[in-house]
Amino acid sequence: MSLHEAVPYVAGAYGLIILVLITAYILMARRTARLARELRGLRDAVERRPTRDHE
Amino acid sequence: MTTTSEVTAEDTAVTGSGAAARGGWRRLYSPIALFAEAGALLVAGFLLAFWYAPTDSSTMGFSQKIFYFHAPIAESALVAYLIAFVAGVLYLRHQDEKYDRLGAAAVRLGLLFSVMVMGTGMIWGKAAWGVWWTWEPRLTTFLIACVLYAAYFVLRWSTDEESRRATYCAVFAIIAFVDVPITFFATRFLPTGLHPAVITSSGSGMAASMLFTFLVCMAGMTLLLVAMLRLELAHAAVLAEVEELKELLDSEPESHLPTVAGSSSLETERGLL
Repeated sequence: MSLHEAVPYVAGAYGLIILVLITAYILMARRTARLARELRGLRDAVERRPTRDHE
Repeated sequence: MTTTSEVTAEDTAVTGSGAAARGGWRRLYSPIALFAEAGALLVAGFLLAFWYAPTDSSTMGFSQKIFYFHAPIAESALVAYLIAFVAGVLYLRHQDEKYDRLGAAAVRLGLLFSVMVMGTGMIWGKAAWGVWWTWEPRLTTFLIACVLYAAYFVLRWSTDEESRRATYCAVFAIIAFVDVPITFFATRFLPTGLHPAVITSSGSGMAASMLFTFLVCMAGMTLLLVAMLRLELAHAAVLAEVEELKELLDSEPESHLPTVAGSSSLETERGLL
């Protein structure tokens, strides 16, 4: 197979690897962001608890 | 309060900023450091593949460059399935939830790497053999592994009770692993297939520069798997703490847990982990 014929295949394979890894990164980052939101909510709930106890 | 401080510590571990304080060798093992090491090796491997390793003199020619990443990704996928197998055995022995989380994370990453293997393999197959797919022993057994490990998550979603789900998944991961050595040795036991065996008992059959490039890519891809696995585990540990804290707050009548957007999706995610 000549260089000219092989280039699209090689570029496609490496492009696919990069695409899958970027997609995985975005999904992991979204999950982490969602977890951070949940943590913030829980922290707020915990911080509010002593005030209610005194009431 | 104690639980919150634990969660905060785990949260810091997820971001990787807490790793700096640990010092010593552990710095090299933090997720951020592992990603950096993997990235450096993979970039080096990419440069070596195109500017150092010679173009294959066989009929494959320039398309052989796909091999330098395709084979290490395949190796990483099989390593991930091996980790899931070991985690399954350890869970059945110790009944510790951390092994269940490790198994689920390993299978998820194994599937991710499998998608890349199948995709790059099909592209390379079209270039080298002229077909996108053929029912050849290595390809067929690898496809079976992918289907089996995809079924792992169907099983995981179908059971709500945590300990039962973990036991079923551990048993499934052990049974599914039977296909992994068959996949690995398919090209050695059944050499009539189209897929070549890269390293056999008689050596690699590659030039030294090609072998060096291949090993650099292999090290980079393995480190990437370890880095992603560490991140997944840190995430799963924090998620478990969050769920525990939510249950604690919900059990107290005075407390009012604020409604957090994405709460239901977190519950779904809990099933995934």
